[in-house]
Amino acid sequence: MTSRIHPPASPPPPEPPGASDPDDELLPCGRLLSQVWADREEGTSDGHERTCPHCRRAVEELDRLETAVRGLHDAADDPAASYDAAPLTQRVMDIVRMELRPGRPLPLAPPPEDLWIMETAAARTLRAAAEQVPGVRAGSCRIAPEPDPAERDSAERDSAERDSAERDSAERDSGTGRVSVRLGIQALLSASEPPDLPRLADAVRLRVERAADRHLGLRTATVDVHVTDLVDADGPDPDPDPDPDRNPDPDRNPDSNPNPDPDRNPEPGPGPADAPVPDAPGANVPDGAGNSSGKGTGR
Amino acid sequence: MTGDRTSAGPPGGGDGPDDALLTVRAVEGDEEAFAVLVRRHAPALVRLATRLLGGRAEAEDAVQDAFLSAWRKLPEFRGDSAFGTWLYRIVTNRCLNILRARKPQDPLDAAQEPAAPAHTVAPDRIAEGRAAVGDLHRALADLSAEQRTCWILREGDGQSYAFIADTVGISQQAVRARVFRARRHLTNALGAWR
Repeated sequence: MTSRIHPPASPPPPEPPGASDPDDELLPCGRLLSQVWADREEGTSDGHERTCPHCRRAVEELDRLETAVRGLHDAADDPAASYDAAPLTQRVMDIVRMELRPGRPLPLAPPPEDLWIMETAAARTLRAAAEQVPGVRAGSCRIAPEPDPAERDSAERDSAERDSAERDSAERDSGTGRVSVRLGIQALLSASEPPDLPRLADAVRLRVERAADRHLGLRTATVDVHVTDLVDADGPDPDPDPDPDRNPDPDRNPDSNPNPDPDRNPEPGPGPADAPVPDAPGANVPDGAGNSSGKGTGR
Repeated sequence: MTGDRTSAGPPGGGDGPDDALLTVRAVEGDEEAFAVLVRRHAPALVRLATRLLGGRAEAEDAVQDAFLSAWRKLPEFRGDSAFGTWLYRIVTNRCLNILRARKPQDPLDAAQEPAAPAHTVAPDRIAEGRAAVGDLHRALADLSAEQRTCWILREGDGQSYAFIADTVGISQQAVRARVFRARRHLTNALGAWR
């Protein structure tokens, strides 16, 4: 490797990868190898490399590497083309099912009866009921016990000072035995039929109320249906990923950490009762669609 | 869409609920929704981890751990990125940890060298290709964990420098320098440089 210290003949672009990199090399034509490769990668050219044998050879080396890489990946990927995800999925889910997050208990009868169903199980039934309505896909489904009106005032007053566990136990002890449901749905749009969101929301509400009553024995006080997204039934979704930067990354490695613990497991998250309730991660809510929901009162 | 980085399943409309909807359900504790996401994303993530780690079995373990880690972190998932992108990050960082923990010159790398491909390379380049794959595999073992990871995400997966910088948690400049050094080392290993 040559180690001359002359600057490159042309001024470097904003981010030369290794102007001061000891692995870099000044080609006999006066250009840095890193620059020649960066130009090649980004497709920028001032015509020099077409006539310069040194630059051409440097580029050929890179091409050769890329050919070899393709060979490497073809070899490695061959089995992956038909990768059977079932065994891996099974292993993951076997462990997940031992670490369920069942949500909060919901009363199946007013006090002093002591019959409960867990929120996650109830939500699955209600989502399935909502999806009986054609053109509907169910997303978020939160179900909360309806507090007893007589105690609601004091509960609201105190709630800021009590943690959720206490609040949950207070709800178990009192309450009306009814629940309030908040359901987010995607409405599938078809080109032939104009959407009628209020009617759709009504139909969903009816199904949910009926399923809660008949299949679960849950008595609903309110069922709020929110249309969180309108999806073209015939085409792909628009890009739902405006910013990939802000989710928790359990394995994030700051480069500065020389001794990361490869087996570091994150603490289990906070209880689902306290988890934030996104309407739909990454969902695009078209103008006017987000709140075209119905808000209804069962019974 | 960014989810395509890991060839996400149906983006919407088509067959079955899209990732966004399934993720909302999984955030709320619906393990069946999570199972669909796992099945949908596992093949691409295993492919990524296999490239990074060099071996299928180890890759599957890393992906399994990444999914479990994601399940535990889901209550905090705020939907700022697609599920596939989020998992891509988790898998990359888990593999990076594993690579860092490896002893340098891990002999496993040589042992797991895959057979050279017999297709997709023009016939006159097959012989050269076979030899090059062997050279490349040996040279890859010499790279640092960071060089290897940055280079594979760039060269193997075609990710942007900005995406790699975000994923690995270093500056774009640092990513460029690592990719350059990896290329320099690998082209040298591929044969007579000059």
